[in-house]
Amino acid sequence: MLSLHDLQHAFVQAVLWEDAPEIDACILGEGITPARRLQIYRNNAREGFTAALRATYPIIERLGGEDWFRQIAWGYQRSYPSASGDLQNVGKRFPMFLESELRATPYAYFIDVARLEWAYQEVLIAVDGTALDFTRLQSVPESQHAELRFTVNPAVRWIASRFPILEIWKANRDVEGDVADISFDAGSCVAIVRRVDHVELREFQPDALALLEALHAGATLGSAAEALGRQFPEFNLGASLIALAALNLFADFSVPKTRLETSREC
Amino acid sequence: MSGRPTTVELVEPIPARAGIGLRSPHHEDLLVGRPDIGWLEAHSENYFADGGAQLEYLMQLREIYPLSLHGVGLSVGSTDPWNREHLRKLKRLITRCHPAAVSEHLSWGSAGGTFLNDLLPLPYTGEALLHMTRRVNELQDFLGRQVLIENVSSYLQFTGAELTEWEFLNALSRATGCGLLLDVNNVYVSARNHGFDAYEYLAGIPADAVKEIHLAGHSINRFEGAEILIDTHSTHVCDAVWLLYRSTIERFGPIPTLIEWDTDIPELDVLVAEAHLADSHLEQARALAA
Repeated sequence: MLSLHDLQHAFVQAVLWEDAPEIDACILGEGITPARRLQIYRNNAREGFTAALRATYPIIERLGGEDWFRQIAWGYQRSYPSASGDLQNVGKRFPMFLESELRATPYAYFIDVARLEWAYQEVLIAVDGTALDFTRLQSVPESQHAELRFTVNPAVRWIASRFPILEIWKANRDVEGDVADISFDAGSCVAIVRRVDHVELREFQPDALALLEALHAGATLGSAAEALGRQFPEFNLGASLIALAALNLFADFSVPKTRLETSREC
Repeated sequence: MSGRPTTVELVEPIPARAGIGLRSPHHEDLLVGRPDIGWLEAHSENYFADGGAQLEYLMQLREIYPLSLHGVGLSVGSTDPWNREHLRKLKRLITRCHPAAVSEHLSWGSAGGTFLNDLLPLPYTGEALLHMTRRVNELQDFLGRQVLIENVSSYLQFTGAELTEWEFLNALSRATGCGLLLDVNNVYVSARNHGFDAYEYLAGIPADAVKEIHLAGHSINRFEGAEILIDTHSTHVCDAVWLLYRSTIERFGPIPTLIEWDTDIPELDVLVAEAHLADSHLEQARALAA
């Protein structure tokens, strides 16, 4: 009999990769062979993992079909086996796995749809955040507006894609839709925001997305506006900021301390 | 050597009535309808989120029903080091919702950091008993409370076993002070699969250690001409398990009993009806003992 450590390692190896012949001698046959008994656990592991993945990626399953999804899930499980007893995280690397499988195929759009579904999952379970009351900005002198920094709401994610992922999402969210009716000429930028009792997906402009990313990275409002003005010839800071504010994407803002406040602290 | 809970919590205990597993399709119906059930049991991992609606539902339902937290992913019997993040989230959840009971399994689920997310059988050897004793003591010390350990259904036995499963559980509870969560359906399934006497199993379990009972449905499959029962949690409790349950509560007395139904989840009133069946057995057992 193997040690407990070796037995457990061999068991996992046998279940996921059928590559541990030494385990057979450790299992009583008695009517059903050890291999068949291990198959039961293989089925359990596969079905549990696939069910968890299905719960996170229902649209990918609808797009690819049940049989395809089951096969791709098994391939994903053997490439990136679960690393936690909490199945809610098993789907984290699925978009990356799909990229390796579908990048150079007509189904490359699945990758970005999967990124959108994972972002939705992250938003569902993110820590609660409060929406910024933009009227508080009235107390900030205009001379300091360029130095403002913003904190993004923790229950917010965003995806930029060269595919119409929001339209694909809407068509397949509750029932299997037909992507043939969707134009693939343009991409989409999608914000995923958790509200009180639902998750909202909204499309917004690429320059507004770029502003959001710059502010999230810690840029001041002024430096972000300057950089985006060079990147987008028709960039309008006010309009983009209003668009982001309307989606309640920010949780807070901070202003730099004045030289007088800093010297008082010394 | 014996483990013991060190934190006294003034939490209403789970009543010796039937409860049901808390499942997300029933969240709203439970809040609105408030059916007559004794308590709820939640899978701990389902409520590990940092925020969001699922957690909010749990907190609201906790105000209405006593709550038990039942973990399925801690891999207690694994020789891997503890997953510290998992332990941290479990402790945080316990602090958030003050459960009357916390339970896990006599099983393991990972090796080398790879999880199968299943309740895998331990070999019932002296080595495994020492290991499981150490792990349960560590878990109870970390959480600051008694933990209930549940027997699992199994589809294989190991050739090097030195103890029966009931001997193993008996020794574990005496060595650690842990409680036992006796899954009667699992006893039945394992007894049918491995050819031992379920009633001998019950007779070998220390009466004062059993703090909770689980009841569930199973399926019967045929492989290579042989029959094997699979613990699917996908249907009603069968007559044979109700019979075994009746013997269980006549031996151990009325004990909080949970109806487990995790797949092909039915409407809430089906679960409630199943719980009321268990309640009627408990009432009859009380009457017999009086």
